[in-house]
Amino acid sequence: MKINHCSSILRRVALVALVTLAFAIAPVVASAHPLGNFTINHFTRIEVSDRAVKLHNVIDMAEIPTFQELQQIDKDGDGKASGTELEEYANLAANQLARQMFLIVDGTRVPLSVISKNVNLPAGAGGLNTLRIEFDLSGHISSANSGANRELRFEDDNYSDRIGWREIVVAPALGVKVFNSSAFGNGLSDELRTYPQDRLSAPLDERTAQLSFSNGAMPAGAHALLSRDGRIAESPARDRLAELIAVPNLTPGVVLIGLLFAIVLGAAHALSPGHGKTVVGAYLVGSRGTARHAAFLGLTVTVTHTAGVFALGVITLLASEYVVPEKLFPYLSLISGSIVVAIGFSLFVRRLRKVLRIGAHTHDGHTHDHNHADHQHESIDPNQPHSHGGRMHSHLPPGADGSPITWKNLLALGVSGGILPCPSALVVLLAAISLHRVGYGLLLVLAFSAGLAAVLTGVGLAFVYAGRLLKSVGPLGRLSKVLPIVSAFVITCAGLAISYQALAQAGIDLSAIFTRIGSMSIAPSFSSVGTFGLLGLGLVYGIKHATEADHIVAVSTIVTEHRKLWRAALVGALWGTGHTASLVVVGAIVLALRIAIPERIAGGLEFLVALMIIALGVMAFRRAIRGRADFHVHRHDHGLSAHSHFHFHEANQSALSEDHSHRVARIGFKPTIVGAVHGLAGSAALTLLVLTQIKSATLGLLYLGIFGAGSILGMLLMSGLVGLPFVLTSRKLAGAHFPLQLLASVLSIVFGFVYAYEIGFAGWL
Amino acid sequence: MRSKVLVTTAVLVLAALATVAGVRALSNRKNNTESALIAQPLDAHTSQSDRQIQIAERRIKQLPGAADGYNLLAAAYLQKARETGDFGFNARAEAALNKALELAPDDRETMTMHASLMLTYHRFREALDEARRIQSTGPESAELYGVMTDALVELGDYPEAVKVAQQMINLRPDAAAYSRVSYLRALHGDLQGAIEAMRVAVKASNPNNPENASWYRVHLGMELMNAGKRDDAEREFDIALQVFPGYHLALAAKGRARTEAGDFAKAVDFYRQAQERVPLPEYAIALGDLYTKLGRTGEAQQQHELVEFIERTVPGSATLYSRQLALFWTDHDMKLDDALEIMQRERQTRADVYTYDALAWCLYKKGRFVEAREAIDQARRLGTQDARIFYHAGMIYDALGDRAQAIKYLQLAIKTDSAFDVLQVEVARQKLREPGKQEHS
Amino acid sequence: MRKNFSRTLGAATLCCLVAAGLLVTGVPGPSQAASHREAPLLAMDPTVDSTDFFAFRSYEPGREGYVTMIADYIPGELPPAGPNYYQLDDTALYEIKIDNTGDGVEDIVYQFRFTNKTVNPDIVLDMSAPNKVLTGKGGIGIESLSDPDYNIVQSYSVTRVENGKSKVLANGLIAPPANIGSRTTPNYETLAKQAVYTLPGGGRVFVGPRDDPFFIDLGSIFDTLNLRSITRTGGYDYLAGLNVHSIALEVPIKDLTRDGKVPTDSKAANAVIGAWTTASRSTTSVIRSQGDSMGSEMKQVSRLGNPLVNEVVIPLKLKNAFSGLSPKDDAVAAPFVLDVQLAHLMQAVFKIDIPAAPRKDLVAIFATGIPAGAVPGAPDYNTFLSDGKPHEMLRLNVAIAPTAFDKQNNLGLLGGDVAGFPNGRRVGDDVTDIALRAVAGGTPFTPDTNKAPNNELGDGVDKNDVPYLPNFPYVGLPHSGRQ
Repeated sequence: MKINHCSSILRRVALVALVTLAFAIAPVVASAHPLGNFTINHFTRIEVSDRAVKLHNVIDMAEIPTFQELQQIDKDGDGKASGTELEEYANLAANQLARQMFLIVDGTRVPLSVISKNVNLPAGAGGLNTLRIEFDLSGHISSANSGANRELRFEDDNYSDRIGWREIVVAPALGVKVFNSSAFGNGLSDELRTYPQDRLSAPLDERTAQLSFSNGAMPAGAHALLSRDGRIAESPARDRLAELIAVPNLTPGVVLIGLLFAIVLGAAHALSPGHGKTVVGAYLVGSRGTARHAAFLGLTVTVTHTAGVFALGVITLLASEYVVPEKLFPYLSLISGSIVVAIGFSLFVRRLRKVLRIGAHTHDGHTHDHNHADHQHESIDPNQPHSHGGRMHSHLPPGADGSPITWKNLLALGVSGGILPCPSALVVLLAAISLHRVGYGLLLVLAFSAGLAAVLTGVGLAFVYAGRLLKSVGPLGRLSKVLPIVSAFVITCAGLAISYQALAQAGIDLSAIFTRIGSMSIAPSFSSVGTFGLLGLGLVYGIKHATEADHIVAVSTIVTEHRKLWRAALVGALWGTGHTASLVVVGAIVLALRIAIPERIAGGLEFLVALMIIALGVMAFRRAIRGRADFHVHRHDHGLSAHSHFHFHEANQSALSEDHSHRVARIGFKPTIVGAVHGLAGSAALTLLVLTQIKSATLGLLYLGIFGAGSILGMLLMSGLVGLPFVLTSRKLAGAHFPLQLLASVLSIVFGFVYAYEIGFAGWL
Repeated sequence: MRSKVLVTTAVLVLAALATVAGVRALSNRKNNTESALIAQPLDAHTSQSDRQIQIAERRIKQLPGAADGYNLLAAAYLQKARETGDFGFNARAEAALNKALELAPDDRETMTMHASLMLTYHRFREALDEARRIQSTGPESAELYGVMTDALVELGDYPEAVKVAQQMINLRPDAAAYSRVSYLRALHGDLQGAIEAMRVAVKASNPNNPENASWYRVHLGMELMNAGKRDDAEREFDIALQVFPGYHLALAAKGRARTEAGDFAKAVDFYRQAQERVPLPEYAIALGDLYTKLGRTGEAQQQHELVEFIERTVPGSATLYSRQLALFWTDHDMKLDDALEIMQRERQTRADVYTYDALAWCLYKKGRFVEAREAIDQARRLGTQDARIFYHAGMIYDALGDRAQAIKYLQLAIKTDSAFDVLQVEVARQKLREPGKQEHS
Repeated sequence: MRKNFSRTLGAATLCCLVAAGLLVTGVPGPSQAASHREAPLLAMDPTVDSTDFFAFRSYEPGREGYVTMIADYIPGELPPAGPNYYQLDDTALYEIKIDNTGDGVEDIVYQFRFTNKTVNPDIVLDMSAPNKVLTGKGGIGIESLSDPDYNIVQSYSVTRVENGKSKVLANGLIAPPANIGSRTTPNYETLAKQAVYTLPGGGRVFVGPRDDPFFIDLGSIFDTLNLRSITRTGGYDYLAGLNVHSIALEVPIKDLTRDGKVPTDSKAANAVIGAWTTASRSTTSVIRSQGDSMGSEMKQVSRLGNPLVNEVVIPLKLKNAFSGLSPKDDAVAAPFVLDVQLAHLMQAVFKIDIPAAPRKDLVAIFATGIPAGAVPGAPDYNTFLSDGKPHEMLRLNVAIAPTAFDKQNNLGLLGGDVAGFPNGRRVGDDVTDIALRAVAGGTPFTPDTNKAPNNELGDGVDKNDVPYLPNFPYVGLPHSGRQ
């Protein structure tokens, strides 16, 4: 119910937006079909693994057949193909088309089941619709005689009499060898998105494919799978790490040397770009880190990297027919990138604010206290000895800047540094498993990770000491203030750089987007007008989107914590930022892959939102109750500014400081995270619609971005609005504040449950 | 606490991504292996022209500097366009020809093909001039005579067309020449002669080119139909479909035959098959009328919308489909001004009987009966035995109050082809039944 | 298998292109573009396109008194061509012409006219139909030429025309069906044997599908002489696996010479005849006057005497005209062979010396005949006919005794076998290699260039894919449609 409501809004969003879009970008995206507007074009990628064969199919209909299909799709005859009509059609089409696709392995036809399907209507020539049907079929094959050579034949008999571009590509899964293949290993048309414009060469007409495959080695004399240029593609660079695992016999000596070598390799790998070395350095410097921090960082990196490799290894083993690790890498680095950005940005904001409020100096002590409290809070975890806090305490020279090292940030940094597994490490693991040398494999990976960590730590230390040196010589005052900000800025930039790279790997060239935007603004008048239309709509619908019930409820629970209007608004803004971030990240991926997020996952995310709202409600509830216990504290403990702290200290001893700092710490982050989760959930619906309407990934992303900006603005206003009563009540009639807060929390809990129930009812569970 | 949240989010995101990426799975990974090329398997769908394209491409690879490779390619694409009915291949042919002309600016083979391409684009005058120019530069060429004949016929210069066609067959009698002779005879009302010539064309057709062979069969069948021999005609269509399975022209011809036989269901089926192969407007029009006849107005509506859509979509369709569109609109009493406008423009460049016929019909629908009669008289100037022309003549004379002539032509129309048009034939019958205007006034 | 198949198809297409005139593309004519009608423009007319012409004294033991002439039509017949298998055109006229006076005017003509009859009118297209089963009169399979399962029966008449008088030698002779496959045409060999008819006054005739006796690395030659091997072996026979239609005619020598005698002196003028084959189609006036009908007036559309003449010595711009010409008018085509492009090509590609133009040697071989004594060391004979003008035809000195089948050297004269090309042409003569050498000047005619590699050139294919027959009709059995 709720989903439908929400997504139907979004659908309208997209539809309206994209009418404009079509005009805006038709001249840009219109990709002429290779053989004029009669054609029905086919693409199939045969993904061969030893357990299953997956067929990724695309049917791209030119304008006229599209028109004919639409006549059938548009059941209610309203001249438009509604989302539901399209979904129905997708179902129908996928199953019909599947019937005319023949997959024969070792002489027996493999039954195919539709595992995903999607229909959309990209703008073709002159903004007219074309029809794009994407559907994946999967057929299981006995892995009994894997290793043996097996024969595969594929035939697509759909629209066999209609001319069109017909392209077949073969993609063996990891560890599967394909040979004597009549089809090639790469495509020409980017899955029917851009057809070669060379009018001299004949359009592809690949209707059948025959190939042999096996898990073992390729038999002698067999022809390996070719790429279309027919050239001998150069084999991959020697993977020394992988070679270590493959040594014929394992003597202790060999093992020892192997491990040492692995460490070296790890170190070398760490020096390759994208492991946040700068970030680490900048962070430690900016926040006066010490050797211990560096060490902790190193440890985190090692652990994360090892864990990451294992996790990915497991994914590969369990879902090899679905996932390609290589495909995941860009997104992993995207994550690490975004984490870094998050840290960097929050530091930046905080430190900037700090510096701007010079008067706050005297209250530095509080931050100290906060930290004290902070790890007291941590030390509430049974497995965290108090000494830990003690240690940390000692690290913080009085007068350190306002945002000292926090373990969370360190951890986050460590994660960001280690989350992107080195491919060869993954290969090692897989090889180890296949060679039954798991133990040795793990050791190697560990050693490798250690090497990696060593370098990062080293870099960290270098920076630390460099920083100290700088401090000892340089003119203290100014620099010590600027440095943290600069470092935070550097971190943010580094994070952005990483994310940018990741996006590029994922096939999203941001620079292209910007050039596109540029070119549009200077493009023929109507197209630029269209662009403004697009911007406007994105903004408007973004704002509208922010006002969705589940968003407001969630935010309000946080807003209840704040007594100052600007802060309430800030909460909203931060929420919007998180929301946008995840929206754009996921959007980027989805658009890069040109698939919609499957309903189950979308449902899952919505469900997550529900749970989150409940959680938030509970927290707010708890707080409200506790707040009751000591109203006096309560008034203050929302304060972030030094002044409130003053009062705080006068008012009571640190008995309750824990949950004070608790809250202080949360400002900035909680809303962001909440927003991020919302974004994740929303992204499912939104990106689907952007997908259905926008041909070019870059423009889709652009639209998402603007949409996000709108949502920031919208929520900023909303949260401010929502915050108002709390602010007022907390100021003047304090009595009314508690019930209000309680009400909000209870409401959100109830809403959360109802929401969760609906989603469950909507068929996800 | 916060770090936990952070990590959990990270994990969640990771999970989401993993699934997203998973659902999508791997693709286009470069396979780095030593290699030897394996020929794409030739399957049933590889037609004559496909093989010719392969050969041409091989030849171009071997001799990139030579024009004949591109000539070969152009010929193959022109042939492919014939087989599929898709203009896209003509564009490719043109590209090949341009390339060939770069390499050998005065290659007569290339220029001849280019002239024939002008015909496809309905640039008859250019085709004619170009063909004449080439002819003047060297020995006689039957192909060039062919191009000239076609152009002259479309331009309506029949005496000249006959002269050139005679030169063509005198130079080299073959299927191409016979079929032109046949058409000219048909235009001049000599159905028997047309049939005879086309029979020989069928015999003389290239057995290695099923499409050509079927083309002659189909047109032999058409003449047989005009001569009222539907059974013989349908046999030819069936053979055509046997020789070149799925040939859209043959399917449409079957559709027309079944329509005349009153077997509308089958007719629909055949036209549908033709439309599935290539959605030409004439097929949509025919289907629309059949659906109307069958009372399946919804589907009829869809077909009519399709016609409109094609007209909007296909570049230059106003020229390519001028006559179909004009007749379609006028027959359905819609966009009469557009129809008239199209045909008047067409008339500027063409004076063939069918252009005059369509023009006459447009004028009639606009109530400009006198001009309509002048036009229809031009359409009848060769004595072409065409039910539609007779029908239009009958209606025009009726409107002019010349009842006798009206009856004569309407009867002639029905006699020539008892079902020349599912809907219009009814109008004709109705007209014959109703009392003459004289009695009225 | 598949690859071979595709290669065969490729070859087939190539042959069709040859038919169109050495890869000079025909014009297919534009596509079905709506409101006007587009008849094909393509010049390819394989049914009347002669691929090879042979003339030789019969080397079948006991038939030395006869001359055999074989005209092959329809290049690149694919054996599995069902349902509409290849047949000669019953609206066309096929002729074998003989000039025994040397003026390029035919003195004796043998005409072949065809008629198709369909046994079962309900099955109009298929050459074979299970008519016996349908009518309950037996099983499946064409056992004899009169078998009802032979659904589209092609019969023909042979007419001899001599100084204006034509005489029908035979009528209703039946050409065998295609070698469709082991079920439809079991024991094809015996079936085909039934199609060999004896003609009044001696001599025999056979018309029907046969293996294409020609062998050549066509693909490589078209690829600008990009030969896999320029010696005799190592090439690929692009015509392997393809069929043609052969018109094979055996005639007593005396029926061909100018004086009706059988010459014994290889230098005697009456010993030499020139022969070629032509095919004609009916022409007509576009607008019929009463009564005139198709077939009343015929026009020659193809012509073949010497092998490879079109490919080697006829300039591109004359090819079409040439096929309509009679040898008596060949002068218009001269100096067509005086300076041969192919020679220059070979010079460039093979890096060899070639004789300088004008190439009188080629003129002799193709157009004027080889005068006695022109070939040093060769037995003294001529293929020279009186009148000095160039007439392109296949010259045969009927006074030269045939070489027994197993003794033949398929390089003919160059191989020291005077009974072979250029004295007529036997089915197995490797005219490609001979022509390559002749054009390169690797023959006794041109002593300066008669050296290696010029006189050792070859296209790498020196034998056919199917064995020839030692007896009439000499050409091998056609490939079955079902291999």
